[in-house]
Amino acid sequence: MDRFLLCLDANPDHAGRKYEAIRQKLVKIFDWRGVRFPEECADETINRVVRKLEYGQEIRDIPTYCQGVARLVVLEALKKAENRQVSLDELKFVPVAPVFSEDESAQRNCFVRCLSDLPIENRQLILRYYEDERRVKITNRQTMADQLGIPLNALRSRVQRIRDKLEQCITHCLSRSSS
Amino acid sequence: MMKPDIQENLVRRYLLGDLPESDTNELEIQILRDDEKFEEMWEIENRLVDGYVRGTLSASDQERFERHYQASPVHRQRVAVAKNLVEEADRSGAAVAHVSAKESSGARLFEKFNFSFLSWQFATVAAMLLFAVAGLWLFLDRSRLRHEQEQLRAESQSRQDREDALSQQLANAKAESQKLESEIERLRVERNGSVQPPTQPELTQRPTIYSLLLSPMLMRSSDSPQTARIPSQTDQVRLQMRVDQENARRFQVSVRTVEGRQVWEQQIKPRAGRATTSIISAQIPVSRLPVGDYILTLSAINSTGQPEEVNRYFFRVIGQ
Repeated sequence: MDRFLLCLDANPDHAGRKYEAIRQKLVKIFDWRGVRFPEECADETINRVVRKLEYGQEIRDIPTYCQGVARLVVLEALKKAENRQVSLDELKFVPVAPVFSEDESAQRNCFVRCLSDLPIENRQLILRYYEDERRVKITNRQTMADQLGIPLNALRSRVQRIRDKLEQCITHCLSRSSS
Repeated sequence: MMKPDIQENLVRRYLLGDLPESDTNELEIQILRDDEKFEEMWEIENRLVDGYVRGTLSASDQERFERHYQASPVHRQRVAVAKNLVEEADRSGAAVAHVSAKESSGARLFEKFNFSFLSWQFATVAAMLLFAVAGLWLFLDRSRLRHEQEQLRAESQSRQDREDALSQQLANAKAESQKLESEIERLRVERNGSVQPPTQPELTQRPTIYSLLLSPMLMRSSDSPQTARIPSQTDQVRLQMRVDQENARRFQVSVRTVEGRQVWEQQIKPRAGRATTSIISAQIPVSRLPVGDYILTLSAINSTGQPEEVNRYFFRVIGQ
């Protein structure tokens, strides 16, 4: 891991931040690729890169190398999922419980709970940011950024992380309610 | 560098599983290298999800979205969250917009009738100001009149009090006067019964004196003797003589008729005159000097008490 960090940056603090950034990007890449457990895949990707470094392999371009490893991990993960799907498809006579409306209700309850758990400024920020853009012009977001005294891309980044936390909270809430 | 719409289209194709593997690999390397591209891609994903929830995607995108993107349970969960989120955001925004719209329509109505409303407003304000000023003036004027009325009433009361006091003093004075008059009358009655009071002239009358300064040079043999024309109401005759006897402390005056009969004699102390002279003044009752010629002999009393003649004076007394 030390070698991996050293490849990212000579400064340990900067290296730590770059590690977190690469991990988050890998998580999203696996997410976008439709992998069921993106975080596990991201960690697996980094572990493989670290091992390569420990084995003495020289890696000049960490992002490109990580992407190459991630592509393989994606393929492996999708293959596992396909295998599971095939095995499930073989169970032709297993009834599917009509729980959609119940899921929607649980979703709503968890959404309301997690939204109310957000700090009020974050709650107001995310609701205002995602107002229907057909009615509210895009300049609304620029106005928000101006009011907060931050650039527009910084506002976007902040809102996306609030939304990500909201999703994580709801996922956790649903898993608890289902168990 | 790609244009934003091209980049968005590329990302959308990536997210919908419609991008070739080579482009996918290149795009992923880009976002691993560039934080800004990563953030943009994340936002494009959110926009795609929100578009699906709001039903704004094209039919082909919607079909690909449901077939590819929603194949992942994580993505289905994200879509469910997005559905609640955009509903909540739109509801929240609509509530704010409703209030804003109300305010806006109110503002438009105000603008439409701005002139007439302002006219009415100004007229109302002007009328209110006028009433306020008039009311204030009436109030102040009434206060002033009330103040003056109170002052007049106070002055009148004060004057009445003074009149009452003076009337009382006058009554007291009258009573005192009457008391004194009755007392005087009583005393007069009592006095009339015993002694008559002296008449005013008698009480205030003083003796009348006739003065005559005698000159020693004038003797009986001269042609014009000194004459004393004594008024009828004279009581006494004062005869005065100048002497140069500085050392004499006392003098003796002796008046005789030319026939030798002594009329009057007295020792007198001289009265200081100028530095080297003294004046001897002899005051003789007029009854002693009837009309006739007289000789006055002035003598200085020496240290042994014997008189030494200083001068003789001749004078004549005639009637008025």
